[in-house]
Order: sequence, then C-alpha cells, then structure tokens
Amino acid sequence: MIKARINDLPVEVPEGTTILEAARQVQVCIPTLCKHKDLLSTAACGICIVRNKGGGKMIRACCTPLENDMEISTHDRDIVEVRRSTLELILSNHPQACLTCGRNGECELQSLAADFNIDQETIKRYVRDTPPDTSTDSIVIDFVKCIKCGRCIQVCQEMQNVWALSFLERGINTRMAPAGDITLAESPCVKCGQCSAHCPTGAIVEKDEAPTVWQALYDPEKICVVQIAPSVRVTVGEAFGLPPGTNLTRKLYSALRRLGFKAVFDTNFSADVTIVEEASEFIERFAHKRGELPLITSCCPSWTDFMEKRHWDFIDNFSTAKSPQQMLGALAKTYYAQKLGIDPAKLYMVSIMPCTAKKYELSRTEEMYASGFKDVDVVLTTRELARMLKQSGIDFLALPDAEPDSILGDYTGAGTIFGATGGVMEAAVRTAYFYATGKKMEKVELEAVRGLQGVKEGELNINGAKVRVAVAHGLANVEQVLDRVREARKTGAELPYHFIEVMACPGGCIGGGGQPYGVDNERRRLRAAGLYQDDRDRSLRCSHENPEVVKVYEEFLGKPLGHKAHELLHTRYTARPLYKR
Amino acid sequence: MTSAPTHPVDDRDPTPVELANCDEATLLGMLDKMEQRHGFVPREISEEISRLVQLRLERIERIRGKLDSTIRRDVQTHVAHWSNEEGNLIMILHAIQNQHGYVPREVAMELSRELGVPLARIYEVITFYHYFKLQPPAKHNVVVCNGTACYLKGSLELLNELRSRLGISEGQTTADRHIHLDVVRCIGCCGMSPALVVDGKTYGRVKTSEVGGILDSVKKQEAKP
Amino acid sequence: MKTLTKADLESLARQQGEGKEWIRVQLDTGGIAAGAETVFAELSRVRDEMKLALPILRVGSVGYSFADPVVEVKCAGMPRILYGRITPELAGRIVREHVVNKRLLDEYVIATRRRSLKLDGPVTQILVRDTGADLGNKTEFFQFSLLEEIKRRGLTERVQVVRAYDMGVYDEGVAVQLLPSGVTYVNVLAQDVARIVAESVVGGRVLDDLLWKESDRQVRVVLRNCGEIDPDSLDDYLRNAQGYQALKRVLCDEKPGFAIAELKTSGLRGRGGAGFPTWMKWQLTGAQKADQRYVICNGDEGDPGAFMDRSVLESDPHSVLEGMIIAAHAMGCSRGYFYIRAEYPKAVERVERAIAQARAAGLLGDNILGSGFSFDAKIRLGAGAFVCGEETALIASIEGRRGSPSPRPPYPSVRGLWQKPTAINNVETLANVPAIVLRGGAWYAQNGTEKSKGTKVFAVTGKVKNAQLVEVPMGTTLRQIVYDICGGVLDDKDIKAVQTGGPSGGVIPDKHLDTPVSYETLQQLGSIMGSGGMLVMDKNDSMVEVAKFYLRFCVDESCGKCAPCRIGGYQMLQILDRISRGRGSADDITALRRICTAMQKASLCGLGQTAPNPVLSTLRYFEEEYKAFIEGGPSYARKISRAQAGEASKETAKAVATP
Repeated sequence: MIKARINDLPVEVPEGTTILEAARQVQVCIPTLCKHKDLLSTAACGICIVRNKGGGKMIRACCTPLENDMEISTHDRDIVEVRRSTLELILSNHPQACLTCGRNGECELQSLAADFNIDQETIKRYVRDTPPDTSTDSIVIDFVKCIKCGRCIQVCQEMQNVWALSFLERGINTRMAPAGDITLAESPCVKCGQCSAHCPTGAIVEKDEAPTVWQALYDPEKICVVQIAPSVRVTVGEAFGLPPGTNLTRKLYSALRRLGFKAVFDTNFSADVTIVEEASEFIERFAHKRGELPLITSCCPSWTDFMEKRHWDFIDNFSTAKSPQQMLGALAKTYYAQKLGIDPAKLYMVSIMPCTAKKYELSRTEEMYASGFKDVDVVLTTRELARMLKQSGIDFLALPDAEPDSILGDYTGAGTIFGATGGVMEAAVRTAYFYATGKKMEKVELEAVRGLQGVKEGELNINGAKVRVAVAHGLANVEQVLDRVREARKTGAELPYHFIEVMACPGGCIGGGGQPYGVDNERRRLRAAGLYQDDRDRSLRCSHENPEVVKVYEEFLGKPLGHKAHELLHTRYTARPLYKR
Repeated sequence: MTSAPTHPVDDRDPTPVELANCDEATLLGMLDKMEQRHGFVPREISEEISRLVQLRLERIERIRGKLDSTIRRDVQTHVAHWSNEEGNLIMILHAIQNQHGYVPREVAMELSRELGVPLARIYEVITFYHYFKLQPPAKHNVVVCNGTACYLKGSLELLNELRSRLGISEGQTTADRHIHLDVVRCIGCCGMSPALVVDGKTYGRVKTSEVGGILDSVKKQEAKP
Repeated sequence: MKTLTKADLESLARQQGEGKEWIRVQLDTGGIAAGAETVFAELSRVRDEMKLALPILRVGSVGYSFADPVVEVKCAGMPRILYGRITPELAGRIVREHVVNKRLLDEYVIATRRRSLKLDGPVTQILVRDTGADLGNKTEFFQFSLLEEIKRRGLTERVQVVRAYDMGVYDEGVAVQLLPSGVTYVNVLAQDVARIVAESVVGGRVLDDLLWKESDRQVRVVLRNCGEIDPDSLDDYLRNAQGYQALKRVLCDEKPGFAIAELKTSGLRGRGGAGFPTWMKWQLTGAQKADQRYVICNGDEGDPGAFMDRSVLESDPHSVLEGMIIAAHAMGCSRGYFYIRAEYPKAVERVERAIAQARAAGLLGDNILGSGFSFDAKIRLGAGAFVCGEETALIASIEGRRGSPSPRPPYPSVRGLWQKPTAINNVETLANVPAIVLRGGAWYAQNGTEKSKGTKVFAVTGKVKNAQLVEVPMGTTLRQIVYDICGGVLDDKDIKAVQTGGPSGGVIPDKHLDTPVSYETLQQLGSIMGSGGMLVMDKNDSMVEVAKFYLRFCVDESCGKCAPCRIGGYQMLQILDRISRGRGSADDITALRRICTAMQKASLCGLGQTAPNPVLSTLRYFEEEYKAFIEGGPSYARKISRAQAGEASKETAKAVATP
C-alpha cells in the first residue's frame, strides 16, 4: 500500500493507483478531458496537472502513480491558472458552436468551460475547416470539434481492434481520421459507435434520425409502429436523471404511444423467436451433426460486419438467424399486417436500439427486405429517443405504465437478458437444453457467462454430452477465442467450444454505442443488473415458453428452421473487403 | 445543311472492324448517331460493343493483375528482409520510399496485408514522419535549408526568390510536376550557409542572384535526354 | 577479416603510429557538399599522372566547417599542413607544389590550433597573416618584408614565407607563426621583422615580447580522432587511434563495474542536453531485473544548427560503437540500436560499415574477445521528426510507431524499448566513453567545472567569422568560444547575443558573455546546454524574428499529442507573427507569457516544456524589441525586415566573394 497526502489529506491506496484515482478517494475531483475510466491514459489534454511538494514541475495526475510520501496539491493558484490557460487553448481550437451541436448540454468540454466560467475568448480562435464525414448511416464525424484526446482511437484500435480510426499528421495539423485517410464507410469501421460513446465532445455522434421519424409520425399515410430493444429499458432513465439499471419498460410503452406510434412492440419478443431459431440450429449442429461447430451468435451487427471483414473463415459457423430487430420487422410486415388487415406498405417500423450499427443493419443485405418491404425503416438510438421524448413535452417519469401490443409484445426473461453480455448464450442454453432433453433446466441462471470479464467460458451437461461455451464482448477479445478454434481445426484437436457468443461492445448492448453518455464498468454492471432483475421478475424465463412465440409458429411460421422461418428469419453472410478503397 | 459529313460512316452503321479500331470518344459519337438514326442501338452493334468492352476489361484486368503481383512480390521482398526484426515498419517504409520516391497507396495496402499491420497504423506513421511522402515526387527536388545558420544568413531570401521564380510555395510541386520545392531543417552544412540542395547536390553560400542560374541548370538537364 | 583476439589487441597497442607521408581529404557531409569528392578525385588523378606513391586518404572532419573542403598534407621533413577551401584546381597545385616541390601554397593554410612557446628545431616555414580588424590588409607587405630579410640572409632555400588563410589568432595585429614548432608572434610591427629572422630563424631564440602565450582553448576528447583516421577503416582505428583498447580493458583486464566506476569518477553527464549523470543511468538500467536490456545510441540530432553528432558519426564511428559495447557490457545488454536521422545518409553508411567490420572482427557478436560477453548492434533510421530525440518518443519510433512521447514514469531505464530496461545515450556521450575507460575518469575530470566535468563540443554558427565545431572544457566562457576560437563576429560587428541549446534553449545577451559555460550556469541564464548548438547574433538581428524562427521549428515538430504544446505553440506563433508585422498590442505580451507558462507546466515532454524558452529568454533580455514592434506599428516592422533582407544578401555576396 502507498501512503501519501493529497491536499493535506492522508490517502492510502494500492501500488499503481494513479493520483487521479487516489484523489477521488478523498473526494477531490481532478478534471480531465482525455482520461476515460474505460481506457488507459493518453496524457493528451494537460488539464489534470497537479504538483508534488509544491515543486515547480507539474505532473499529470491521470498517468502518474501515487508514490509513498508524495504531497500532492491539486488546486493551488498556479495549477488552476495553468489549467485555465490550457483549457482556453483547447477552446481556441474548437468551433464553439455549442448551441448547434449534437452534444449540447452533455459535452465534457462545455461543462468544464462552464465550471471555469470562461466568459470571453482571450486567444484568437483557429479551427481548420474540414467537412464532416457522413459516409455511413450510423455515425457522423465532425472533425472540427475534435480535441484530439485520442479516446476514440484507443477505443477503436485497442478496445475494439477495428482500426478504423487513427491519428494522421502531427503538430497543429494532427487530426483524427478514418484509416488511411478515406471515408469511414470505406474503412474497416463496423459502426459499433463506441467512439461516439467515449468522445468527450460532439466530434463523433450518432447519425440523428429523429427528423425522419418525426416526418413519418406526422405522415397520415403511414402507420408507425415501434420496437424497443432489451437494453434500452434499463438505460433510458439515465437521460432523465434516474440511476442506471432502472427498468422503465412500461413507461416506454406508454411514452411511445404518446409520441404517436400506432403499435408498440418489444424486441424482447423477437429475441425469444431468435432463441427458438438459434437453439434449434444449435441442436441441429450439435446433436444431429448437421453443420459446422462451434455455432457463433449473430445478433450483433457490428460483430457480423467484423466477421465478414476479418474472420470470414467462420462464415459457416455463424448462426443464420437474423437479429431480433430484423425478425420483428419481418414479422410485423407479414404476420402482424395480415392479421390486422393492414397494408404492409403503409407500415413504418421504427426501432429503438442501444446501437449505432443497427442503423447500418437495416439495409445490410437483401434478406433485410424479407417481407417484401424494408423490414425495419429506421433506427433511433437510446440517446435520440431521449431527446425526442424531451422535445415532445412528455413528462416521461410521471407517465402511467402501459402494456405492449399483443402478438409481438410479450416476452420472457430469456429475451430481456439479450441486452447484457452472455445473455444470448444463457437464453439459448435454456431453450437448447429443453429441446435436447425435453426437460426444463432446474436452475436457469448460467452464472459462468455473466459479468464483465472479457472472455467467459462455461461448460454444461446436456444429455450426458458436454457443451463448452464461450462468451466474448469487446471486439478485441474475439481474436483469442477464435484463434483457439483455428488452432484446434489446424491440429485436428477437439474443439475448444461448441457455442460462442460475441457482442461487439463491452458489456454487450447495455454498453452499446448509442446508449446515454458516461458509460463505465460501474454503469455497465448496474444496467446489466436491471436486466437480470427483469429476468427474475418474469414468470416465464425460457423463450420457447413465450405463448405469443408459440402462437406465431402455430399460426404462421410453422416449425423452427422451417421453410417460412427460413425465408423470413434467416440471412446469409459473405466475405467483404476490409478496405473499400 | 452546308457542312459536309464529318465521318464516312455517317449514313451507315459501322462494321465490327471499325468499332474495334476507334477510341472511346468516337465510339460514343457513333452510338449517338445510331440512336438518332434508328431510335435505338441495333442489337448486333450493341453486342459487338459489349464483346469489345469485355475484351478491353479483361486486358486491363490482366495488366492490373500483373501490377498487383509485382507490387506484392516487391513488398514481400522488403518484408522478408526485415521479417525477423521487431518494429520493422519504419525500416520497411524507408525501403519503399527509397524505391518509389514515395509510399504509393497500393503498396501501403499490400504492406498492411503482408505485415499484418493495420493500414491505419501505417498511415499514422507515414503522416507523422516528414521523411515519408504520399505523393509521387517531382522530377527535380529543390530544397532550401532553413537551419539556424542558413536562416540567419538569408535562407528566407532564397526561398522567396524560388517561390517567385517557380510560382509555388514550399511543399508544392510545379504544375508540370517538374520541380518540387521544399524546406528542411538543417542539412548539417552550417559552415556553408545559406545552402540549397538540388537533386542531392548541395550548393553552399548561395546568393539570391545565383538562384536563377541554378534553376536554369536544372532545366538544362531536362533538355538532355 | 579474421576474429581479433586479446593478444592481437595487445600487440596493436604497442605499434601505434601513422604513416610518414599522406594527403588526407576530409570527406564528411559538409566537405562533400563543398566538393571534397571532386578534390579527392583530382588529387588522385594528379598523383597518378605524376606517378607518385603518396597515399591519399579519406578521413572525417576535423570540424572546421568554415574552411570546407579541408585537405591535410604530410610530407617527409615537413610539418602537417591543413589547407582550407580547396578547389580541384588547387588540388593539382597541392600535389605539384607542396608534395613535389615542398613549397606551401599561399592563402589556404589553416593552422588553427598550433601553439608552442619553444622553438624545438630549425624554422622551415613562416606563416604570416594580418589578424587585425583594420581595413588595410598588411599580410602581403609582411610576407614581402620577411622574404626580403630571409633573402638577405641567404636562407631562401631553407625557409619559406607563406600567407596563411587562418591561423586561429584573431584581432592581434600581424601574426607570424614559425613552423614546425608553432611558436607564434603577434602584433608584429615592421621593425620586428628583422629581429624575428635574426633571433628566431637564425638564432633559434624565442622573442618573449612578441610571443603569443594564449594556450589552446580547445581540448579534443570527443573529436580526438576526427580528421585523423579513415572512418571507413577498422584497421586505421585499431592502429592509429588505440581502437578497441578500452573495450579490451573492460572485457579482459578489469573487474566488472570498472567502467561505471570510472564514469562516476569522470563526472560525465549526458551530452544530449538533459545532463543526467551517465554512470547513474547505466547503473539504474543494469540494476533492473530483466531477461533483456537494451542500449540505444541517440543519433537523432535535430537541432537546427547543431551538427556535432553527425560529424562524430561520420568521422569516428568506431569510437561511438566501442562506447556502446562498453555501455552494453556495463549494463548487461545484449542488443543495441543506433537511431540515426535518415537525413544523415553518410553517417548511416559509415556506422553501418563500422558495425559490419566490428562484427567480422568478432568485436560484435558472441563471446567478444573470448570474454563470454555477447552483444550485437543494429541501425534504425529516424524519419524526420525532431521530437524523436525525446527518449520515450525515440523508443516508440524504433518500435515502429508514431514518435509521440509517453508519460514518465516509467522511465526507460525501468521500462523502455519493448518494455525492457533501456539506456539511451547520446552520440557524444558514447564517444567519450572509450577515452575515459582508457585514460581514467580522473584524467577526464581534470577539465571542467565542479558540477560539469570534462569537455563539450559546440557547433558555433550564425554571424561568426569561422563557423565550426569546437570542443572546449566545461567552464570556458562564451566570449572565449566566440572570439578566441571562432574569430569573433562576422564583419567585426558588435555581438548582440548567443543562442544556446537550439529550439529548447534561450538567448544569452552580450553582457553575460563572460559566463563560464556549464549545465548550471546556462540554466540560470534562462537557456540550456542542449546538444551544443551555439548561434551568434549581431546587433542587426531581430530578437523577435529569432524567437519566431525557433518557435516555428517547435510548432512544426510538435508531435501534436498534448494540447498545451500543440495549440499553445501555434497560438504563440500567431501572436509573434502579429507582433513582427507591427500589428501586435500590449496585451499580446501578457498573452505570450501566459501561454508560455501553460506550455512549460502542462506539456507532457521536454519539447513542449522547453519550446517557450526562446520566447521567454528574448522577452527577458530584449523586451524593448517586442515593444518597439508594437509601438512602431507596420511601418517599423517593414523597416526592420527591409534592413535584415539587405543585410542578408550583402553578407552572402561577401561570403562568396572571399575564397
């Protein structure tokens, strides 16, 4: 343990703790614009400077470990003065168009400037004019707002191993840019949006589809329907000041109706459908030896994009089941429309997702038009939804609870945990076990695949056969799992896993790139806990038990993996070039 | 109409031989004419053109394949030379830059594949170090040393003279891609300041009045085959 | 080459000595740029044409940049003579007149460092030069008078009188030097001529009243072999420069820890600028538990105006390599890297050759000299980034990444290259090591001040008469360096200031010229030692422009990683630019100071922390110049810039006009 003093307060922390972290223990907040809890320090902004024993030298609190007998001062006159100058310098290189910025009110730079009450520009502004990158349907990069903190690059390169973003050039010309100076769409970007979730300013934001949705809602010719993803219910509250993990499912149903949606569906329902298909697929491959093992989950569009670009040797291992979002879209414009006698051409499906890549998934392949129309018309992230709710004057937190629209709305505990890493695996195992044994699992919780460890492994016994599963989240963790499989393939050894779940974002969808800002592991844990609570609260906890799911198969789809199911609920993958230019 | 017909095939459709032998612009002109004459392009002609286009595409593909494989072999040689070295990226880039005078994009892509290093990392490095260039070099390189000694002895005057004579500023290349003007930080000839380097040859203690002569000598080399 | 053994080196140690006759052409980058290769070719051609057996050798540079290309001639029975500014036409004359006819050439002899108080042999040549500041040049008159006197005494056959180009004596009237002894008379008057011939030339007595007693200010430790040996020849290094004797001593003759102990006694501090004690760096690195340690030679000399590292690498690569092997042995490293600027192709080529030669001779590789110690070295090229001189950035660059500095701790000595303990030493530091090991730390520590021991190489450039490399003991004053060694200010103008430490340093105004140079004193004056660039500025140089020049350099070279340096530097440059165009305001100076502080305090690495130094130090000593620009407005700024432009073109014209 290290013993030292910070602002004359004694602190004791484990060796290796940075001054920044140690200071928090004695209720001292040292500001920073570049250090993010998820990431290693880049030491880029120069805001977190402190002094040791009043020395002339100022050191960075974010990357300097506390040492024995240090006497750190964090806010003396000189430090604050230098900090203010540095902040003014950063502002002099920033457009300061706060009122017309996607991060207005939620920007770290803005709030620091407010704290320092910077009320005039003392340094002449210099911003190099650069047009924004709007090449993808998911993410908009407004280069001029970038403060070069390096978070997005670290996220993209280290956390996600995608390498779509990088720094180019140097000095005052240093800029963050898509790999090799091309557009984001031409780069290896998988649209996970983690860059936007970690950006301290408005330099990287989701592509705002709210205007499109408003337009649709105002259009009398359109029948707008909506679906909400599993994780959104436990995160949207953060935008309204509630603690992470607060489950607002029923308030969301009600709010969406007030916004003008004619029907409110729950993606949890189609998550249950996904599980029915995927568990059947697994049994097919595992028990009947028809198809490649391990089976790999495919409901994360960033992951499928990543696989198609980087790991296409696993195409045959991919579950062909579509993601819940797309399944619900396809079912709404066929089954639901038929049943209610609505012209599917008029149905307009909006989905509320935690994710920027879902915006890309809409038109990923021709299978996304399985209903004969665009199955899902537009995606809003949690952040966009929160803004729309605020715009519409709905007192969200005070709303009465409501229920979803039937036939595509009921869900089980298995559907809801889709939103957390390991959830798909856990849900699939519950159903696969039943399919293989005809019996219900005694304990449906699969603790081994829960939690925030990068790669989680588990083993269970189905009918005497051992099933080994692996769960990876954060794309950088994928490689080690796949490499073990590759190694086994090469040597002909026994497969290390039979079933693999991958989610691109750390924590799974609850840590998605479109979720409310300020994500860190603490929040991820709380958000996941909200979902697991929802699971426990449901009377039905296995997807195949969902009465509406049973009904849709009986009335419309036929058998899992059957002809109709295949047509509507499954997709294909192709190897894609990493760089389009 | 007073103007004479400009093309012998004006009143008849071109034969396959004629088609095969004309360039794109003429071909497009012919198609326009046929469209005017018939209201559509006759099927035999359009099929013949498709066939010709296909042939040309294949030829271009072959050429590209050839280029690609040359690039690949090239890059492989460099990579093989440095394969046992950690942190070899910069040294390989030096080898590529020496060979081409810059780092062509296709080569960088190939290097990324061969080395298993993301293109993002390669571009990060190339754009960070001023020694590496992404644009092909001009035929001649005129470099003004702006080290301290040269600066103090009037390198800016030399630079201004070059700027006005060449009509470009530093870091730019003349429109005909003949001369590239650059400024460097100290070539280490402080004893001979101010200095110019033209295509690797150093000129020391240069006067502004001599700049014209030096440029002329560059042009003279140009005149020689 | 066969593998060298301990015994080989022992026998080599006994047979040191150079050939009797040779011509050496100094072929370093500066020399080559000035045409030394053509001179070399012409010398060889004329020699062959005249069927002489005289060896013509390629050597590195002795450091007299002002006189490039430099040729040194040694003929039997004659003293060694250095010629400066040699053209191919003169090369022919050197062979025909000097080598064959034994007559020195007028106007080209440089004899900068020859000093003696005794005549230890008959006078054979007399060099003469009017060193006065007066316009009338009396050199020819004195040559004529001396010749007449010699003729009168019938000594024409024995004694030659030669007009020298530069004698290393400045502002001392007419100087006369008697060769081969080197006895020098200064302030010689017409009536002294007869006396000199009678007493000294004929009588062999020294005239005490005329004798120039100034001792040589230069002490060459780092530059000991520069211009003396062929940098491309291991053999030359072994035979003529006690090559690898120090390594043999460390590996075969002494106990472990010897090198570090000697370095500690020597007081040698890092010559890259920071001045960290070298022995301590080695000890720290060696003390880390690790399966692998690295030693790196930092040859990424990027200060504009500093070229000592290049010169040493080009002129004496084996000394640096030997220093590195000794360092590696002291720390237990098995791998070493030379990180050299790609802009120094000659240095790269020569170090590459030195490494190959050493490897072939078994001085690199496994079990060096049978000691059981194994080590190998490689070259890594820089690619045009000044910031890579910073240790952590240099490591990033060797690892193949952007050269952005990373936070310290961890220091490279704990976690450096590929996360292993790494010691990074500057070229000059390593070049010192073999000399210290061979001659002892106490010998080295004789020179220098209490806290700054030994000698330091400076590259003196700018408005100085003889731009050159000088190596002086620490504690030598700036005035001595500028006036006594480099001949003072160009055109005998008044000196205004000396800038030391390059872009990280500051200006030192004329009133502080008598300050002895050391790490501490320079820092007190608001500058730094840096790598040893020294820029002389005269009364006409605008300090605002100088500050702008250095700041622009730092702005261009900032890695862009951290905000204070990236934006601060740029914004300061904008303000300086405004001021120098006469469009500044009084608030601008306040803003400058504020940004300077932010950069100094909040920048991550040395580049950003020191980048404001040129601005701060010019503000400290020459604030009135800034104010003049602000008060004078655009018309004043135009006047200054016109004056400077006129000045520059006039000077360049003049520099070319003189041979």
